[in-house]
Amino acid sequence: MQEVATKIVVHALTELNQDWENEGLRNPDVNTRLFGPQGNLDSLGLVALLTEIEERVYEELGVEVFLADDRAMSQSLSPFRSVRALGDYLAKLIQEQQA
Amino acid sequence: MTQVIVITGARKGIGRGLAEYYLQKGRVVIGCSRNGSSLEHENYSHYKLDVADEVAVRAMVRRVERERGPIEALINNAGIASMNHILATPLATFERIQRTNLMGVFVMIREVAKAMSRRKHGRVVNFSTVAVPLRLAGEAAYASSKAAVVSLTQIAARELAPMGITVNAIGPTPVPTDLIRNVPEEKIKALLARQAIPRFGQLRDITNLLDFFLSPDSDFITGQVVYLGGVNG
Repeated sequence: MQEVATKIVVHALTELNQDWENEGLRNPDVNTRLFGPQGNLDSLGLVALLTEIEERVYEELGVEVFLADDRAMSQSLSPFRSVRALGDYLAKLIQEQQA
Repeated sequence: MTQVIVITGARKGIGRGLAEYYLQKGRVVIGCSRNGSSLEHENYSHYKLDVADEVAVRAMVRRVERERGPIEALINNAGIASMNHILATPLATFERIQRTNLMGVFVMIREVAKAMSRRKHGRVVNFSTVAVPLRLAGEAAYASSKAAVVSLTQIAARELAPMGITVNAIGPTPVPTDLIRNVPEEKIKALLARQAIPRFGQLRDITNLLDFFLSPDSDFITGQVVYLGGVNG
């Protein structure tokens, strides 16, 4: 599931970056920084990414996830800091919904 | 393409009137409320849900966009009130009013705006009330929830502007519906007397302003709260 989730994050980023044309997001991988220190996204970019990911998860897996939930906001290390972190968090949410 | 408009609290009162008005104008109207609706029209779909239930709201938005088309406008009309002195207001009543009037507006904006943001276009209109600027005694729970809606409107207008979504609010005067059914007549009269134009509001007063906010030409109008009857915010 982690691989599936990470792929969804990467595809969402790639799609959105066609409009943004951000060099730092041209070929995103698990190490790509997203939001926060050295991040490639501002707050609007993060919002757009989360919205896109939620939609893709539903379309591809038929699962509803709410990425911006209490757990995400209260973690000392933000799950939105990198592709890897977001993929891990997304995988957890998907598995919870599928359980 | 027929434009889809979502109206909360569409089962009765102003919401029902708005649904019928926009159906007559040829729009596809999606209504929602806690109970079912008697309104039948090929361009009308009704969803039974609690507007503060984020799972139900998201499911509705998905289904509407899939079956009816992109949501062009959201009118957050759903609201409840309970006139009472603060010292005699149960916490459960206060919570119930905040949940529908404020949390419901928040959840609806969040989930509908996600869909609108993909198209970089949308219109949101929330409902406040003249009870806010008139500091109406007896309506602490109701007016405070609507004062919060005003703040939410103004902040949402700033946050959603880059996505091409305008967010405004209308503050109606008393309109003869179930919402004010239990308010004593002398209190209603006293309230109307504080308006510059001392009369009940009518549906046409509301649709007049809504049409302005929803107009494609109003893409430079956002974060505004307009109270009816000459009441100043």
